[in-house]
Amino acid sequence: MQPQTTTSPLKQDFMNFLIRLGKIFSNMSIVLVLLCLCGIFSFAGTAIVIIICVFIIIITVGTIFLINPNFFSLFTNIVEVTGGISTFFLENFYIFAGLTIATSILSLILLVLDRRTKHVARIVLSSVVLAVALICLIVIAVGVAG
Amino acid sequence: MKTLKLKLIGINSKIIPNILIDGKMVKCKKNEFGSYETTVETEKDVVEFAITRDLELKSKLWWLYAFLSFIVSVFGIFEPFYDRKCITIDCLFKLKLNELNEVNVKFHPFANEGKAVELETPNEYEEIKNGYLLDKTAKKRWIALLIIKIIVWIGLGILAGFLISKLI
Repeated sequence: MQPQTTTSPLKQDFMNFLIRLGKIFSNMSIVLVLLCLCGIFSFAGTAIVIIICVFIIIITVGTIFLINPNFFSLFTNIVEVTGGISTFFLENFYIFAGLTIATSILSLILLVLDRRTKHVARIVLSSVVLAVALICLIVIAVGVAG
Repeated sequence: MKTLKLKLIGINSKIIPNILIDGKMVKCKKNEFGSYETTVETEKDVVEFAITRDLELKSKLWWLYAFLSFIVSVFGIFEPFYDRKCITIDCLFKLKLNELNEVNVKFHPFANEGKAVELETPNEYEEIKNGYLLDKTAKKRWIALLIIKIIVWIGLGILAGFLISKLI
């Protein structure tokens, strides 16, 4: 038999508010984990830009400089911009990762507290976000230590 | 002791209603077919069976919760929307009980008005209230919140523009 319960309206309203907060933190954690991933992929992005440019030079046997005399300055500009972006993301990586972990844990706690509705999708999503953030943190930490 | 087996069919997963037996809230469990079930035991011969629905914007402290949510969600960027339709369920039945009672409650699709549920049971019952209702107070609050948010967003946009122009 399911127990009959009396929940005061004020308590129920507060529970609804906590669930709303859980959803807000869940939404925040998704954006924050994307910023964490940007930290890793922007670093790879700079490397990819350099590889592509070197590849173009090799393929054209250097004639790219005759076809486009500004190629080298264009190449250095792109590397400078991508390097700046990757530096920004890497400098702030620990802030993003910390916020991602905090918001995903908070959302997990608040959503699990809801005994009326099961937020399976959001709970799974927050768990995945938490796992990804932790993996990113380990990757960066190992990279810095290495 | 009389046993009442309740089965709720056709509930939208986003709209979980409150089930009250003699004013006490009853917890329902979702079964493998997506319906909700519960079993209640009582000594009474007649029970009052009510179905209601909570609206966040109907709570006493709705303005405080809305304000806090707005701030925490970075001025509403990460905030999930409040229920735009603001439809409540207002159902009340008096149900005569036998020793073992099975009641299937079939929910009609959500609408601004009309019958909310259909009871399928061999038991005798009296329908006192049964309908979907548009909650005008909640709707007004929803519109007020939307207007306030738009004004704040425009204000923030102007402030951001001013600060950027100062920096550049």
